[in-house]
Amino acid sequence: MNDDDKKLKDKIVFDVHPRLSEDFSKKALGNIFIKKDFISANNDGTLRLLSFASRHKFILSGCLLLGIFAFQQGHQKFIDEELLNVDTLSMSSFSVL
Amino acid sequence: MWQEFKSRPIWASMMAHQADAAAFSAALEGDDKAARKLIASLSPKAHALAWRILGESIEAEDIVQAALIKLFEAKKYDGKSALSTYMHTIVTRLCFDKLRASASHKLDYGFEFDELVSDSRSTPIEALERKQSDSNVQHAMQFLNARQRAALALWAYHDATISEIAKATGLEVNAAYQLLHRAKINLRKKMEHLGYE
Repeated sequence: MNDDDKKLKDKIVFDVHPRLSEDFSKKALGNIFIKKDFISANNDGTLRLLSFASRHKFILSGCLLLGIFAFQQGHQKFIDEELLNVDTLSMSSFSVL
Repeated sequence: MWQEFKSRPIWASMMAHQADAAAFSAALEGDDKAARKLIASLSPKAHALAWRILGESIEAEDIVQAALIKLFEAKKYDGKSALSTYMHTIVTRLCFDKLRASASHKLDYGFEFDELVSDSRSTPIEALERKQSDSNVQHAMQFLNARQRAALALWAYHDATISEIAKATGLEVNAAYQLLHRAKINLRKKMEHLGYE
């Protein structure tokens, strides 16, 4: 680099510059982490809901199993009642005969 | 001896890039301290670069914020070149996008043309006084076009090579060399003309 270039560079670099605002760093940090969380939540086409699901997968799968069990029990009870009704009807029809 | 002397800066810069890469990945994993350190090291020069291109400090701050977000969104840094090189390329391109969005002519013309196409919120004399209050160099630089301002700022603040300037400004290497050469001549001429030398 020749002397003229060095002088020009010094003039640019050591010139008066405006300062960054006081809350710049805080704002930047907030922006980065908010955006980053948002990006990681959406990264593979998922939304925050799926991110929540993956965090609490054991609790959610337990709830799902309980739900299936309760549904199965309710269904079984319904079938038993239906069978009982059929039996009663058939009994009554036999008695008529 | 010469080999050792010659290779030392390369070795030192590689170490610095590795440190940058480590800090970047730590920041990506949510390390608040590493992120603060990166912001503190990258922002001042990036802000100066954006300020030189755009001419407004507040707009320059917004550009640096957007560039930091873009840098972290990318999530990739191999440590082959300085993190600041990526940052300055992003800043330069965002500045060009902003200038393109505000007025299609601003990228290719300097301060004189901007004044002709500016709106009537302030008189030309008020605008001139406002621009002059910044600094002599800044005032003279506003007469150059945006690409020349960017080339000068990259060269001055970042010791950017011609290929780095070419990459940031989206030009061929030969064109970037000419751009920087013309920018230096134009700035010297303008400073002399304005009596700042």
